[in-house]
Amino acid sequence: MEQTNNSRIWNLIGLGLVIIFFLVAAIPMVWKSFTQSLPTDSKEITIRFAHWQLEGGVRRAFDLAAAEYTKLHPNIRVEQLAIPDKIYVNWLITQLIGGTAPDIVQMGKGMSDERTTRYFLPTSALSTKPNPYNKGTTLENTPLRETFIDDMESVFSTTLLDHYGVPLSAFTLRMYYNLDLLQEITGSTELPATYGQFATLLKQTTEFSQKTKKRLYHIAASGDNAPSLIDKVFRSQTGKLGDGLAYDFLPSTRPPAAHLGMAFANGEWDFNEPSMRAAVTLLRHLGSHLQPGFMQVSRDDAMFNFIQGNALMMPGGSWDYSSISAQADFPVGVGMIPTPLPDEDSRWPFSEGIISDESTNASVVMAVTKESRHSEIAQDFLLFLCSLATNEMWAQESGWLPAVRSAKIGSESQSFMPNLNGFTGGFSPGFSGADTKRVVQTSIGLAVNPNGSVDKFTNHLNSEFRNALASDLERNAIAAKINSQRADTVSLALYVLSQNGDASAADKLAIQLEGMSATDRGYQLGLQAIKLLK
Amino acid sequence: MSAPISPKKALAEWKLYLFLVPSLILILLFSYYPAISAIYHSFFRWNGGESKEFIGFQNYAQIFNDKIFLQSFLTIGILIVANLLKLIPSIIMAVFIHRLSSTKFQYWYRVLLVLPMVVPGLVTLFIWKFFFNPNLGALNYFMEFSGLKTLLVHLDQFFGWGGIFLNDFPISWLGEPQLIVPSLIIWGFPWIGAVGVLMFIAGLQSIGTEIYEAADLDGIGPIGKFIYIEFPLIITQIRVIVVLMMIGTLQSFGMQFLLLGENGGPGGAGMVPGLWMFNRAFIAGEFGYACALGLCLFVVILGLTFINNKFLRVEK
Repeated sequence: MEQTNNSRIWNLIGLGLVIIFFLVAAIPMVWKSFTQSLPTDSKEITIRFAHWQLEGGVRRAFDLAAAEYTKLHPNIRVEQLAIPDKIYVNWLITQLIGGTAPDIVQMGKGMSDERTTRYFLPTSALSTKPNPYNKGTTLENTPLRETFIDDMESVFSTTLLDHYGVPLSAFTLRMYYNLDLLQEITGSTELPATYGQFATLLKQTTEFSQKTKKRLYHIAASGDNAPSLIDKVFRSQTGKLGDGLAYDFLPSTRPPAAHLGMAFANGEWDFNEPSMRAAVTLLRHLGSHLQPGFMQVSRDDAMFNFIQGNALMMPGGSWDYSSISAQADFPVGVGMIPTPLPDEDSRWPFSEGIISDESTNASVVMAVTKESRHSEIAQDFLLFLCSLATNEMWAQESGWLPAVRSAKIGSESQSFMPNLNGFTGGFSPGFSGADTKRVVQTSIGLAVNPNGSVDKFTNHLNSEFRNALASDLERNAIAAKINSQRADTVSLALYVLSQNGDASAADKLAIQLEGMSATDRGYQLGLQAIKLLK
Repeated sequence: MSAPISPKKALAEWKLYLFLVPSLILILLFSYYPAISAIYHSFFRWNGGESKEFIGFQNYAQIFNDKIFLQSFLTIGILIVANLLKLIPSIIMAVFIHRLSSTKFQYWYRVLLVLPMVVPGLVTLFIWKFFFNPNLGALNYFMEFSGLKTLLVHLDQFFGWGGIFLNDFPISWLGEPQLIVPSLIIWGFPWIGAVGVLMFIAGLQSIGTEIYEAADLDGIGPIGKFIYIEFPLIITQIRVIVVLMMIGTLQSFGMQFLLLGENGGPGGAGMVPGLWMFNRAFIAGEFGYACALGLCLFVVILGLTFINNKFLRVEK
């Protein structure tokens, strides 16, 4: 009997603990959801925004901007969610589909036209009016669109014919170098300007490494930063090839995928093309000086090698500067990534010259989600972020380039200013989408590994590229078809409005029809290319 | 065999079944609804958004022409065979612990085995990624230090492996297509899985001491005891572990994703069905096709589990 009582007491204690823990977990959650659903004018409102920029300076800059915004609007709190880029796409798609996305998210990864229209609010209406937060500045009366360095081209969808989001920064690709080490090796503090001189520097580095018995990598690289470098290498050699192909330009600085795909399907180019082989030869030369096994190395590991003084150089974007300069205990130099010049070396007859940063668009695009319960406040916060004063502060704090015209930049950011002199370059093979990118990236070892060769890479690409291209073009064609169907309804509405005397609708209709015609051309060409490829 | 309960008797206290309702709702919501949704979406061309186009069995037909998906089964097949062999150290470890005469030591060994289980799997993966790092990784230091690298270089030259091991270059474990599957097999060395060992110990502990005494009287040695007594009596546990391992290996892609990225590394050599499914859904945006791949994978797992249960029987 006593045993039964004891057991009952223990059971009651167990049950009591379960109830207590359940209440401890449940009450705050119920309270939180209850307070968040209260009318907005009486309570504090929280705006959440998500991005994948984990760099310390950027997060700090966002925090400062959020704090400044709260000073202006004491009942609004802004929270940032920094999501690692490796999982950002999965996270974002899950949040969007599940209807739990934050008020503002960074666009770029995992976006498609359908997701853009379905989940994001367009900013075209805002783009024609001045930004109220620019009051008292030189941009006071300037329409929002014209306050950006690229006139919001980077956030304009040529297929959806609307602006989505606002940019906060601009990215350029540069070569970081250990200034002390470079001086020790060459006596100079500047990176060579030509590829020939660069090749000499690589030789000198090998000799220095042997002489000092110091294990020194010429260029620290990773699977994250190498693709940009590879892209530049291909573009430096395929400009003339691209110019010779028959394609129309869509509103873009590079040949569109369907046109390049059609040219490939027609046999106008393949990987035996001399300029392609020249690009792979250049890739092999440059790749042999990147740290071994770089495609398996993470960005952090590559940066670690550079910061520890184990590598002379490291390719990276302007986004890397704040992290590198904060951690390196040596002066960090920033130079252009050298590509061969036409008159420099007869080995590179396909080079046109310096590849410019002309195609550099503004980046770090933030957009308001349609699910946002406070979409007007979220849009207001975006306007605050891209105002002259805030963007300037944000850029200086993060060490990144600003996206807003006239924003002052620190002296350290000068090296990252886009170089607009030179050629736009050609194309790189991963141009059409996920599958061609996959084929190229998984084959890089065939070109750059010690046991690889130009032939191994080009033969492999010649056999694998066709199917990958067909698969990408098929996906692009389906997307184009959906876009056209969606645009039909919008065009009809614009047509009715223009017939009723709405001049702006007539203008928009003209742009819409031009865009639809380009999309349709691309769609038709894509279908033809798929037929030829299969 | 007990007689079946009549429906009248089973429903006599029907209110008691209401206690099952919360669990049932949760299972339906979180287990069955996603599965049914996946079956439904596998008949559509769907990119995860609102609009989708019914295409019948087109996604399933596409699977048969999907070279990468079919090849990924070869990779996963190799990994399953390797994982089967990797069960041996766990069995040996369980037998060693079981045979320890001191129960105190037995206890502490079990504790030592369980302790690493508190380390999140992701941390283990990161540690192994660091081991494989060609420039800083412990594996290459060990290969250099032990002279194994020199041996591999000679073997490479002798057998003509194509220069995957070179004197002046660190071994690129995850950078060479030929080394990726071996690296995935090396992963987890010395392959002693805590769950497996604990399950085997539980099985071994059910063996009565009188059986060992009888074996001693018959003059059976330690290896004989394992072959004739211990192994047959833990076959139930081995079967459970094999089924779980096969399901886990076929479904898994986290290790490959973290070590090699979404494309399965150089040459796509580390591509497994789960990773390809992930790649199609989140990289290519072909959610409908990924659902069809998932269902195909489900059928394969079901088939293998059935075969396993049918042929790996325990003789009572």
